[in-house]
Amino acid sequence: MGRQITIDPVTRLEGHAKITLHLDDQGAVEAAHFHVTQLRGFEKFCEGRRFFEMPYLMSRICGICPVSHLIASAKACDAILAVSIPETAANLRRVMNLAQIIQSHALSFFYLSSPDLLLGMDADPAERNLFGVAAAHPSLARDGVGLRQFGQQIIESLGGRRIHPGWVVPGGVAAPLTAEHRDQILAGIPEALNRTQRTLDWFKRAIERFHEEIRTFANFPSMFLGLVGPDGELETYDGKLRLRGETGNLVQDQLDPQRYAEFFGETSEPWTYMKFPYYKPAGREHGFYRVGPLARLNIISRCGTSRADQELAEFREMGRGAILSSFHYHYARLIEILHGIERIEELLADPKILSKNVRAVAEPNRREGIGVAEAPRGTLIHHYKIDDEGLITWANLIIATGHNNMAMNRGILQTARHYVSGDQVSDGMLNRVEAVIRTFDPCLSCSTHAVGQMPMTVQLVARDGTVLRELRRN
Amino acid sequence: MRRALIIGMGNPLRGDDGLGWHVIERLRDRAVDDGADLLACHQLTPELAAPVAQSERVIFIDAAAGEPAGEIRVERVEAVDGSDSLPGALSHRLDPPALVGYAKALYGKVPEAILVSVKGSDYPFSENLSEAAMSAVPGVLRLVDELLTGSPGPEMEGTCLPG
Repeated sequence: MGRQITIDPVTRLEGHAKITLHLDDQGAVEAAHFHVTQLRGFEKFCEGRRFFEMPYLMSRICGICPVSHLIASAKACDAILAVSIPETAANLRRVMNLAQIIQSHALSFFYLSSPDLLLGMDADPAERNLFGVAAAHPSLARDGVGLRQFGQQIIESLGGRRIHPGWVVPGGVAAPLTAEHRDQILAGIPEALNRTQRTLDWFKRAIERFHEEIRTFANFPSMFLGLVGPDGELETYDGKLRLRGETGNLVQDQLDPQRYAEFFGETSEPWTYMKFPYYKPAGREHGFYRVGPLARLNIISRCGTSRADQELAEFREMGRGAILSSFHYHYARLIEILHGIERIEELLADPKILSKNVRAVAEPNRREGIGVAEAPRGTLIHHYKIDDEGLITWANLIIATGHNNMAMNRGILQTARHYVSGDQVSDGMLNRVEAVIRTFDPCLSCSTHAVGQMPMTVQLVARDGTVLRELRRN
Repeated sequence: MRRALIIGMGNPLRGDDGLGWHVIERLRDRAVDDGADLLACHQLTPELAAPVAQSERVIFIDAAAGEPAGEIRVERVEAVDGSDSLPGALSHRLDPPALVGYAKALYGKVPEAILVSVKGSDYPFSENLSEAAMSAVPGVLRLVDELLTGSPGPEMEGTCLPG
């Protein structure tokens, strides 16, 4: 008799997502599905809006990574205007995007994952939380708070607010950076670097305790996608697409993001609203890839900043070719935080960053625009078409988490096969299925960001619908 | 150390849930240096533990469910320790007792914390407050002034109607 295990909900908002684990007659996991059960609809309801409203509208997709949508959307609008924005404006957008990556990675690592990493996957859920971390390792917790503050304060200094800033506009940014704000940001750099380095040093020792999780958390061959600079360096604002295979082989390089639709398609499944992007030349079955911090570190030639490059060299000692275990998304996030801080310092050290020339003004010169940037969770694509009045007639968004959809499903299957057998559903298994999802830090409108505050239920259900066993954590 | 931190919390796009933001805007408009820092936010996030720990007094302003609409309630916020505040503490969002408790856990400092809440009536997709919530705003501003100048005695805690 086949059975099914359901984890529902996995997210903060009701109905957002759930996991089902399908068991065969012997009780072994034969399939796993990560269902995203909420329809967002942003692509549809923005039709008819003025194109220049899009950045601000799109930033409302998310409260954690609004800056990423703001930037990708503004770049799509730049393409519609057919302008080359001033260099200072591009660099200010870079600073804001890096600050966004820093604060989002800090949230993921310190608030959501450090309880598992510090206290262990089998620790009592009553202690495996922010307070548990504060009690066991207060300086680590303070570093997390400090890094998230650092990123958010930069966003606020530039955009006037921490969440949903409207400062990035088609053609550039709305206002130049003041010397006062630049100096405030620079003053925070040394402490931010120290905080990150301390955490990296701690984490590199801590992962020694997670060999089993490293081996089983979405650890499989795949391709990896992201933007790179002209010399293959880490680039989160602009650049060209690079796709590497699991051995480190280059599958695509310096691919113009404007051509994304030629190479990347999307399919759907009846059990989830989230689409499955894939690399068209390899086909639906074999064309899956990963994006985000781990992918970026796997595809680049170098970070391009000194400390981050030292850490990257050490990171790459873990394997030959690409680093395949998704557990190492955590490690990659810390290296990207380090890179972001160093890069912000470089950008702000240039006197031209205070230039007043920060916006190009034009009327629409094209009927179509594509904007691509690296969000904290990976490559983000906004694509719009407009009519003669400048109203949106069509929009396509490929969100970073979507790129990882196939990998997340396969990752859950791998983890479940390792930890679940028959009706022996333990709390440790539940924790690990949550944890493998959390390595990707998926953003289904803040999905796993608050997983612990919703009741989590694992059900063993017989084919006839009988609930054989239920495990619930409130 | 700052003298006071006033945090207005809620969603400014959902009617009365934006009451905290309205009050913060009114306080900003007064442009009076009363030694208080002002902050409007959607949620209480863990990184707010740092400014909370650096303040002698923290005043939270929030909308609340229940009746009668427009009723103002003043209450002390006691820090909770760890597991008492679960399951919310697994997240990036905290309530006032958990935030004060987190500040204590991280920095060993506990400010005097007060929650001023107003019972709302309407939560549509709107940036406007209902009549009932709007009528409570002057009372909240008076309370904030009193809280900034003195410690809330027993007579200040509890409920009071607007006006």
